[in-house]
Amino acid sequence: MNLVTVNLSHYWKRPALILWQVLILVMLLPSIPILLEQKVNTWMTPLYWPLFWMLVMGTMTATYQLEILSKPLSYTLPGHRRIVRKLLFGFNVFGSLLCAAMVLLLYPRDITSRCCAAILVLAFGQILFWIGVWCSYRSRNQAIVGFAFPILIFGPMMMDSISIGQYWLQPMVAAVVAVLSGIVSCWAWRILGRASVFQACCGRHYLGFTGAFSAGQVKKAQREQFKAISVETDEKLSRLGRFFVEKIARNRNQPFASFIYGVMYQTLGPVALMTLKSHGTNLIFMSLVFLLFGYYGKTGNLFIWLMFIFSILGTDLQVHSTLLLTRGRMERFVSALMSLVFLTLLGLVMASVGIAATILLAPYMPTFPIRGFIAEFHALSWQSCYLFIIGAPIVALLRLLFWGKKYFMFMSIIIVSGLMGASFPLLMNIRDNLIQVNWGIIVVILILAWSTFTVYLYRVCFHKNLAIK
Amino acid sequence: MTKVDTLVQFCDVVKRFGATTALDKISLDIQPGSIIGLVGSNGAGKSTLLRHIIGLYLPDAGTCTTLGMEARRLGPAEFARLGYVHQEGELIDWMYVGQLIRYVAAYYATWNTELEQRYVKDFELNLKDRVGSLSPGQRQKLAILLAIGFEPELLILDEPASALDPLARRQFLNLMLEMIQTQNRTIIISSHILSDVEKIIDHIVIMDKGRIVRNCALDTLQEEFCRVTLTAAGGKLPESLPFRNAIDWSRSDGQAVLTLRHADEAQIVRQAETIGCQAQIRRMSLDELYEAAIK
Repeated sequence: MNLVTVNLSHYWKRPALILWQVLILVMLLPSIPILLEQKVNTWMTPLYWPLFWMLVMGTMTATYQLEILSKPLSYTLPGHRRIVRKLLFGFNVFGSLLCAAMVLLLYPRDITSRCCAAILVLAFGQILFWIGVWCSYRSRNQAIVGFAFPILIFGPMMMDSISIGQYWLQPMVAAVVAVLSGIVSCWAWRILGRASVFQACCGRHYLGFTGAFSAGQVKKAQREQFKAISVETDEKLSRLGRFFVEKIARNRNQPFASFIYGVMYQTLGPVALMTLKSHGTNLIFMSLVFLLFGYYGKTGNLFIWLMFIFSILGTDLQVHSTLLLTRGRMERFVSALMSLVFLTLLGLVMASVGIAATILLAPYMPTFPIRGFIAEFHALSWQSCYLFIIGAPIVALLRLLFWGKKYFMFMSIIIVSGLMGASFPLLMNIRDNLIQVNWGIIVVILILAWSTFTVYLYRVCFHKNLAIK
Repeated sequence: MTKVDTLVQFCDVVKRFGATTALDKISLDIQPGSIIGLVGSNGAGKSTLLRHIIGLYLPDAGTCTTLGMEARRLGPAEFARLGYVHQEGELIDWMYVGQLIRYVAAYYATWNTELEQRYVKDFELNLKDRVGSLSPGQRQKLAILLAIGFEPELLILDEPASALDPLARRQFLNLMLEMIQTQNRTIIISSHILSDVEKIIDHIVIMDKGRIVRNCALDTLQEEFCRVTLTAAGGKLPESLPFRNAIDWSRSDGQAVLTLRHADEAQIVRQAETIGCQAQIRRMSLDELYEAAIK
């Protein structure tokens, strides 16, 4: 078996990679009918998909390769680093040629415009591929492919809003972009020839795609992140720690209070650990999300709560912790349940702050045309908060159900997200009708969701093993 | 009915994981004040057994009683008397070492700060290090500190020295010896490094494929087996050797090494003399005893 075969065998031998490949393929399938669409109102959208495809391809290929090279055994195979460079270029050339050929054959324009479009896709595609490679390289231990989803959702909309007309489909422009792409490719070839680029990866933990499903791998990645965090938050963390430690010690003789404080401390501690810069970045990100959803109107009201629902997935209710404290199974049950209640309330408070901000900002926000519509900012409403109160225990239940089975959990999230997306129009109708007609049904669903979670939590805490074999 | 003086009692405990039977009708009593070595190969069921004691696992059949209470019903009062170090050493990675110690200490009314400070110094733990950035050995030391800081009545150590370097292992053994000598404590220690365990235990439980093969005092096991080196006075050993209770042997022309069971020393010497050989008898190490016991 030669080195190329050994390297490529990762692509079909590892189930998690196959899963990712299938998912990305499913995600990219919509690009084909759009490209084949003859009646396009704008010229950019059909070209957007091949370009997006190249960005994703660059990210994925580089992530695989860096993951492979981070293993010392793989790194030390003679000539493997050169193979990696060749493979990256091979994938790039193959992908961009394929995209360019599709555009050349299918793009519904005259032959000159088609040629220019094909060259543009070929050249831009190459550049985007290298941007994807760079993103993968720079963001070790991050779920890098996540960045593709917002681009996928908002990219076409942004592309349509840019009215640059036919200017780009000129031979001269295509030639300039092609030269630029050549320069970038030469530069990439040179950089990837440096031993230091791959030496920096060897032996260091690289989460990659498959690692994201392994609890052990994720823990390793977190440990590396903890190492990298500066110590400037010491004092803040100490204050928080002192507060909770005092509460725990004071309530030691109470039946459950100390354990509830313990779970809260473990949940809020990592947030306190973030640097000022990280807090700032998060604040800006959240503000942008709220603003964006404000322009979505009613849909934004649903999205904002869905976002908070999925944030529950990231919290650990400490049901399966093997750090032995003085908690028994009953204490685990009560503290997990109370913690979920606390987190739900915390989510409601945080969302309320954001919603209040949109109410204050609404009179001052501008309107602008987009895709033939007038985008108008609407203040977000608190009325759909029941979605979060219902969704939080459902997501926590999923986490409990698939504890230790990351593949299943991932699949269930995909399915639930898909169902939510697919049933969106239905949800909209229900939302409107329920608010106006029947709050009783909402209360029934809410009670059902919480009681199902509570019953299952009870079952886990009293009738199941609390540690992985 | 659980005996008052029994700390842990397994009664016909069966535990299965899919098709694998991890514990097969285990019955075991652990008395206070004993230092028990739990030994066995990988997959023998040692960790599974220990996790039943603290109620992390529930038996499929049979009962496991800890501190007079069914293990699944253990509450804060019982857990305050139980210390546990496990091989994966789950800790809270985002905390600093000092913070984690304070956090765990907050749950225990009996936390011994002097002991804590002493072991922080002995184990060379830096309180300002992030737990997530500790080496495996340092993590294990911290886990040990957290398990003994409140001076538990029953200390359960699941492969506690697996991540420690030789120096740290010696420190750990000294700590164990000190704990045994100065306090009336029950310790159950599972380890692959039998030479370490040998120095501290007084009772041994040998497990193999989910069953308890031996459960006796270490002295009893040491008396049961012995290793004999026979050296032929005339330069060549006879074809057959007159030791019916030999369970293992290796031989060359002039020398043979035998493992004997239930053998009397005086009788061995006499039998050796009848075939013109000289016999050297020695006690077996725990490694050798384990090998002999599972044969």
